[in-house]
This record gives sequence, structure tokens and C-alpha cells, in this order.
Amino acid sequence: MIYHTSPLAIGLFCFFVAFVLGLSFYLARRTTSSAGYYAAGGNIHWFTNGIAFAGDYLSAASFLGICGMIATAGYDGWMYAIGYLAGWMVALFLVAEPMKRLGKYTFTDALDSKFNSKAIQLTAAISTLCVSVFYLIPQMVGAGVLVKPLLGMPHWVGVCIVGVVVTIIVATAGMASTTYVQFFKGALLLIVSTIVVGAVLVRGLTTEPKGFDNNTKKLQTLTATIAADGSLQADDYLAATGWQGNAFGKADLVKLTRNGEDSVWHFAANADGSYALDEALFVETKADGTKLYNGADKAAGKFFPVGNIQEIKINGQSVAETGPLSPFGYLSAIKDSTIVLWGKKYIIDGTTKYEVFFQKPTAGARILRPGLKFKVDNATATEKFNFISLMLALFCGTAALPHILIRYYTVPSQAAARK
Amino acid sequence: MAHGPAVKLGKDNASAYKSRIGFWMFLAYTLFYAGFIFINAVQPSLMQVSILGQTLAVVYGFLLLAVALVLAVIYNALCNAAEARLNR
Repeated sequence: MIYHTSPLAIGLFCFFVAFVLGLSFYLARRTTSSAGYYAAGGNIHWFTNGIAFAGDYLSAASFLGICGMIATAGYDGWMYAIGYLAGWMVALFLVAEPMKRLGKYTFTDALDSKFNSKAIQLTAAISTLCVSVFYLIPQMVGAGVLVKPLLGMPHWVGVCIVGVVVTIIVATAGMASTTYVQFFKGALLLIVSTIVVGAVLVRGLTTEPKGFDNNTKKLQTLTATIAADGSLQADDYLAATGWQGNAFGKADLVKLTRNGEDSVWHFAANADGSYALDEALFVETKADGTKLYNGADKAAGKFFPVGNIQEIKINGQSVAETGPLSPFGYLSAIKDSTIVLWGKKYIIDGTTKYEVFFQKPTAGARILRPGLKFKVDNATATEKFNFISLMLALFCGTAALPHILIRYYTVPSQAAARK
Repeated sequence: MAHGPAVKLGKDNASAYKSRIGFWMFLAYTLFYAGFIFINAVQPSLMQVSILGQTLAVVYGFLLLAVALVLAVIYNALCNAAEARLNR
């Protein structure tokens, strides 16, 4: 990842951390009972609790993960969001009221009060620890990934900072501090996400994005021919004889040289015997561990941002940009356009490893339906079973999340729990 | 610290009614959700068919979200009415 740390981002991060820690210590002085610690005294307003719910869901793993998956795999990423929300129905219709009526904080409490069994207590404790560990791993990884470009710190430092801050928030005032911190986090995310969505819709789609700093590089396409000696030539780019038989050529890639500089291209044969070459990005890792990005050091900035539309079609006509769009107009424009997704291939050439990112022009309609990440087309029985299992896990799993269930106790009544 | 309830709730005469409508609404929504899984598992190419200018996948996805919201509002209204009627 290539990034520049932003003083504004660091300032906002430090301000928010100081604010939530201050709030937690303030609430800790008011939390004097187990009911206050475990369920915020049961007196949180339903609106605050609802926004805190949203904050719980918009965690690092789901918020960043779903955005990233939609960017790289289209609809398959959005299926997670659908599954999470559908899971709320399970929680609302089957879990919220009975749990609230039982007057217990967790499923374990409820089972324990009914059966008073050591075996159930032990099973529940082991299950809770296992689920918590596997739930926390992606959250912590997500936090580290976020802090790394934001603060310019190593990944493990980000994980430690976020881990310590979250532990302090929970330990000081339990659900009281957790609820209010999640309320502020959820509200901020909802407001800022709405602003970003509005900005994207007002700007519309274009085939020539400018990027934040006008740093979007236009991707090149070349037409290459094979010379008499078997080398591949395109303008003043050259690949020596044997380019099709080496490690790159076997992966439909070719390494070209111009003025002593290397570049990697994805090739496809044309009907007339020439080759169409699409520019690729590559990370080169040498035997001594040195990494080069598009043949140069990271600081040279040759590894440019990607993500663009190859062709936009509105009402059957190709246009360079759409102008402002409605939400459904935006999706409709994507459906009829051609989007450049990126594939990844690993090449080993002698002692040097290459990670090559190449263009995959994909029909928008194909992106706006499942199947780019999860195998559903021509799937085997096992692959279909995997897909169905995932969708069922998303549907049912939400209703069993402990930090979601506990929210039904932080409000004063069953009516507030439903809202 | 004991795990006692945070809020003492009184007797709720509407609980059986609420459980019943909760179950039927859950069943209705589960069938709707199952339809989404079924199409993807059996005939995934159908999800690319254009309906109202969108793919079926987008239309079905938004319907799943919209129906969830509508059912939740109806459920809440029915439960509030039942509590007011039966817990006088």
C-alpha cells in the first residue's frame, strides 16, 4: 500500500480517541451496579440504542470489508450487507422480545437459569470464547489496516492502539460507555457516508476520472507486432525473442523494455496476427527483499491509483461522462457500462517474484449480479453448498451476535427493544 | 456481580400474540430470502435479466431491504396495539 499520512486525519483520529476515552471515564463514575455495567441500567433511549446498533454493524470488518468487496467483486460484496440486514428480521421477530422478557443478559444466562447445568455453562463459555476470538481477529486486522495509512504506523502498532482503546472503553463503564461510543461512531459514519454518496451521485460517472490530486494516470493500450527475429515490438517498446515461452508469456503477460525501463503488459492476439497490449501494474520482489513498484522505488510514485470505467452507455449511446445521477440512475448506468476490474497473477522469474495486476474489462450487468467472487455459475454441488451455507450464516448469525443481543437489555421496555 | 435483570417488567398479556405474529412474519420473510438463495443456486444467470432498468439481482436485493423495513414497521405497530389492548 502506498500512502501519504495526513495531519488532518491524525488530528481527527487523536481528537476522537481522546473524546471517547474522556466519555468512558465520565460514565465510569456514574456506573455503580452490575445492571449499570452490563446493561447501562436499562435506561438508554431507543433512538440512541438504534444508532448504536448501526454503529455495531458498521464495524471495521463489515464497513471496510464490504466496501472493498464491492469494489473488487461487485454484487457479491453487497450480498453481505443484504444478509446482515435480513438477519435483523430473525433478531426482531424471534429473539428480541423473548430475550427481553427472560430478563437475562445473554443466551448463556437464559439457558443457565432454566437448566442450571455445568455442562451447558462450560459449553457456552467455550463457544463464547471461540466466537469472540474469531470475531475479533478480522476487527483487529481491519483496525490495523485502517490505522496504517491514516497514521503511518506499522500494522501491529495500529492493532495494539485500537485494542487498548477498545479495552479501556469496555472496562471503564461496560455497556454505558460502549453504547454512547457506538452511538457517536454510528452517527458519524451514517452522516459521512451520506455525504460521500451524495458527492458521488452529484459528480456522476466519467471515463476519465481525475482522482483527488489529479493523479489518475490514463492507462495505455498498444498494438504490437512480431519482428522477423521473433521479438515483440510496439512503438519503442521491445520484448526480446522467446517472450511467449518465458514465465510471463505463459500467463498471457509480457515484460517490455523501453529506454532501460521495464514495464509489464497483458496481451491478447488480434485476428491479423498483431497483439493488443494492456498496461499492467507490477510489484517486483528481489532475492534480497527489495521491492520495486512498476520498476521503481515506492517514493517514485510510479504505482498509480486504478479503478475506472472503460465505456459508459446511457440509453444505448456511448458518453464520456454522465453528469449528476439519481441512485437508481447510477446503478442503471453501471449496468449498461463496461467496468475495468483488476486481476492478479504471481510470476516467478529466476530469483525475482512478480505480483502483476492486470485489467479485466467486465460488463456492468455482470458486476451487478452474484458470481464474481462466489462460484455460482456452473458450480459443483460443493460450491453450491458453500454459497447456501454462507447466505444462511449471514441470515442466522446476526441474531446470535452477543454485542447485538445485549442491546435488547439497555432499553427500558419491550416496545423500545422492538424499535 | 449478580446477573439480575436491569429492568423489572410487569406481566405481559400480549406476549403469546406477539410471539405468534413474530413467527409468521419470520416465516414469510425467510421464504422471500430463500427465493433469493434459490435463484442464485439454481439459475444464477437469471439474476442478470434486466427489470425496470436494473438487474434482477439489484431489484431483488433492494426488495429484501425494503420488505424487511416494512415488516418491521408493521410488526411494531401490531405489537404496540396488542400491548395497549391486552395490558390495560
